Amino acid sequence: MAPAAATPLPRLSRIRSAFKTMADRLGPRMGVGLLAAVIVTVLFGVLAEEVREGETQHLDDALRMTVYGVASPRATTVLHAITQLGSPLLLLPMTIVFALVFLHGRRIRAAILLTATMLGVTLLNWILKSWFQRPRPLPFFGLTMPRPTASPAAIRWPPSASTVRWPPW
Amino acid sequence: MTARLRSPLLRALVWAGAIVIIVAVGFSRLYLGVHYASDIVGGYATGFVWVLTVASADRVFRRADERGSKAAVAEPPPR
Repeated sequence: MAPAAATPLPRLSRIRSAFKTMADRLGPRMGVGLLAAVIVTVLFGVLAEEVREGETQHLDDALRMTVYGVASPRATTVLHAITQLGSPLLLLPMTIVFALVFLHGRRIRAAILLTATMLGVTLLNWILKSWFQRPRPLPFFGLTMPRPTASPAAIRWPPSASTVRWPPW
Repeated sequence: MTARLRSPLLRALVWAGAIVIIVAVGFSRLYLGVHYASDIVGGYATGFVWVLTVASADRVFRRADERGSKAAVAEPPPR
């Protein structure tokens, strides 16, 4: 009898077979995760298209002003501290320290995983910013943003320049 | 990082802490007016997909290693 691999499979069966092999290799939990990743990628594509067409601007502006409307001095202080948790000035040293700790504990895979994750998101961040070239909004609370896209934001988004008063309370 | 934690409670706490930080940092960007909400949602989506990609690659390599070590045990080298 001829081996099963020799018989050509129809296209759908091949796709199903590939998914089954992938699910076998990754396990059911990661299979579900990958399916979620595919769905999120599609939704991201839809969002990107809407952003490029300017369809999200109205909702973005409304959300911005809603959040600005409930601002308070204490919340501003707390959120200013919280936002530093996502700063590269904190994340870069933390990544290096944790990678070194993992290497010291002979957890090579964990060190590689952490480094790959951080390098990948940094690269993706840079690629997406370069690709979209979306002007940043005008920051509240007298914050200044060093990026050159900050100034055109005030021009392209007139409500930010005309309606924002500081301090909000 | 949580893979080595034996206590499910501790593992859940680490996960919850991570999620709280992620959401709080995103909200702080919107509150301080330095990003639009759609930027933040896009960032979450990109991060989620990338982390899953890296985790999947790790899982595939880990399973390949496990299969390799099992095969080595099953077939001892010829004398």
